Amino acid sequence: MASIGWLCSYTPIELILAAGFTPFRITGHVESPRAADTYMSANICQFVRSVVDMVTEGKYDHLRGVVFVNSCDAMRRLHDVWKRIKPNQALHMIDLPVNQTSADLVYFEREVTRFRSVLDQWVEKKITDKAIVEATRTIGRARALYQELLALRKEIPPRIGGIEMKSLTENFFSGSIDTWIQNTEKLLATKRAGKKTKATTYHPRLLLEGCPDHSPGLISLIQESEMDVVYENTCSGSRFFDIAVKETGIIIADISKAYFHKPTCARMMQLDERATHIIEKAKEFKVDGIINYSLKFCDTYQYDVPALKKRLQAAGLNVLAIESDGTASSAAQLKTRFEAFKEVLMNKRSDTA
Amino acid sequence: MSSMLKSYFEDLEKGLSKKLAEKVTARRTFIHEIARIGMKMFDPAWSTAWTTVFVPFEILNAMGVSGLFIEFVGAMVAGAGVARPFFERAEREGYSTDGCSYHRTIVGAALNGMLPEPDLLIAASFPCNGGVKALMRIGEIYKKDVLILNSPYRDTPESIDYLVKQYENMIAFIKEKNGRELDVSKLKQSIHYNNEGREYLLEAFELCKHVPSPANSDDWKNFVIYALLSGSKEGVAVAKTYRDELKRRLDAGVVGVPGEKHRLLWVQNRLQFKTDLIDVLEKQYKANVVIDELNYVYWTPMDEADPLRSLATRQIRHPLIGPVERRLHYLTQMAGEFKVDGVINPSHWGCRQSAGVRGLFKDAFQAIGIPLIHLDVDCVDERNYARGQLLTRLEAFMELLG
Repeated sequence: MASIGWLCSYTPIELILAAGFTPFRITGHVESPRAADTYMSANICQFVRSVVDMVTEGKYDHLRGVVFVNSCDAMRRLHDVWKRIKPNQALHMIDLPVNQTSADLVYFEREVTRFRSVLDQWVEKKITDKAIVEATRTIGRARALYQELLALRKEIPPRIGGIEMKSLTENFFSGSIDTWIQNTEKLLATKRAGKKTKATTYHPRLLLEGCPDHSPGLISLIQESEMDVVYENTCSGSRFFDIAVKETGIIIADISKAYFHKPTCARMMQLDERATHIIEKAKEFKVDGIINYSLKFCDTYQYDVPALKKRLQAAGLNVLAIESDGTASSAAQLKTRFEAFKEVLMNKRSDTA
Repeated sequence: MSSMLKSYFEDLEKGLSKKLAEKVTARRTFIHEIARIGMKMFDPAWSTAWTTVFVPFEILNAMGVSGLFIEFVGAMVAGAGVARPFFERAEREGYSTDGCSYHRTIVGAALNGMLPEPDLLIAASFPCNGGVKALMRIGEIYKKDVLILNSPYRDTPESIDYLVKQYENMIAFIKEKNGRELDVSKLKQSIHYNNEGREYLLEAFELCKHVPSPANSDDWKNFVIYALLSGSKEGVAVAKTYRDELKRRLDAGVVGVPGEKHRLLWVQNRLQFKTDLIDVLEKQYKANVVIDELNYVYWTPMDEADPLRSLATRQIRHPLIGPVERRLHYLTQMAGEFKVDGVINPSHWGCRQSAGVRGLFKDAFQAIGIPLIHLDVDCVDERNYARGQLLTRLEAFMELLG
């Protein structure tokens, strides 16, 4: 099945699936940017620059079209640069309001409807409501399965590890959703049938919050530091699957509403709601600490760091704010910080005990 | 603490009043009005709104609210050479040095209690995310709600309706927060003034298309701040003074840069701290910045009978909204109109919306045979300003221009 690329978790991928395409998440690479400097300054985040590299190298030529969301300055510019590099590739921008009033929801629903029309043009046929409902149910099934696996991370120690979950997520982003469902059903059955993991030594439990993280590198580093990531409040992790479309018979409205009201990210400016969500998840998953990850040059997240940290600390949570350039080169420095954080968490734990 | 800034604006106003009494010039008239706007921050008779750069100041003026965009305050503080402690404060709080220094300055100044408390906070979601975020953080410092105007990406009738609705909400927000009503006749008057000022500006800029230009590089420096005067009789007076003065100069054969050899277009922002960059360009290379991108009058006359729709249309059609093609179209158009032979893009560190397409700027100008130079510089934070390096690059660029 041909694929349509998407970048932001506010993209209603149900429509892509309904149009007969595999939704393919564009994730860039984790090396130092190569060709992006031709088009943009070095003070654009590594994620966007790495995507430019891959567009330049033809790595996304297989995509029938690419859908962007007006999520940040860099993303708008990525759209412009992509259009320049590949003028014949079909591209579309979904405009996402910053506010969350009923008028904004109406506006967003119009944007989703517009996206549907764009897909109609791309596939040269009308996508039916029936197809959209079916796709919504398929993706709903996938999200429900993810939630069931996610629940296993609440166990101490977690029955499924951060890296395994990361791999699961990446597979969802890059392959057939039907195949993913089949594989995940098997994985869930295996995990449930397996014995509870016995802990030899306690590993602090972490919630990873922040920018999208598209490589397993960060979670691996944390795991190497003998800590377990049990929830990712990121659009590339657990939070991505935290949407439920409630069908009321008007499928575009239902999808729009579900996406519009999903747990927010830094783009949506609702810092209090975001902090509340993190605090709730931290309790639910019994975490010892939060890693607040921001990608260098990501204004959207970085402007929130001081204020978010204060809110989380006020709720009694231990927070480590880290910044990375998104490449493997920052690994050693990050690992040192993770190890120090682990010590802090373990000391606090023994103090409490 | 805020007395320092108050003194700055008062001294500026006093100094310019004195100079204006000796001789009226367009630049003095303009800066004098800007100083008066700055002073309103400290005037209890005025309600003050801190905003991002492109909000409809006409509506604020018609409600008795003095709007000040935070980038303006950042620029003024940097121009006065007192920004360093604010950067340092913001950085101590955890704000990244990679963020826009216009915004970091004002966040630091607010944290330091350097500024009087604003009555209202109003942001527009363009041209950048950083401005909205900075205003959100300032809202937390003063415990104030921030109203965000969501600027649609697309120019469609529905988008204009949507923005009009948001302006209505903004009017309700202002009324709720400080009890001020919109005076519709004042708003219509404001649109009238805007149109009148616009005509004078168009005439003034038309004069600058003359080779050599009657204006020098600094005559129009930071004229984007004119937005604060837009729709006021003071704004009309400033625009008229520019038109009259430039006409007088042209008639008298006075040129902005004697021996003008090169005509430059300046992309986006000027350097706000004190530098001799313009001096070097003008004196050493006889190069004149004849047009700044942000000064360009891109909007059409507005309809006094339908002010909100007119303002929404102007906002939605701003070159910095939507796909970059629109901006490139205007940039190349102004390069042609003003007969420029070179383009300077200071590529302000921290400005993602511009830095993300800087290669496309170069391509667009290359296609019309005009060279462009990127200067990697922070327009506000002078701590990393490498004068020598920058001048070396400029020297090479000027040699290329011949």
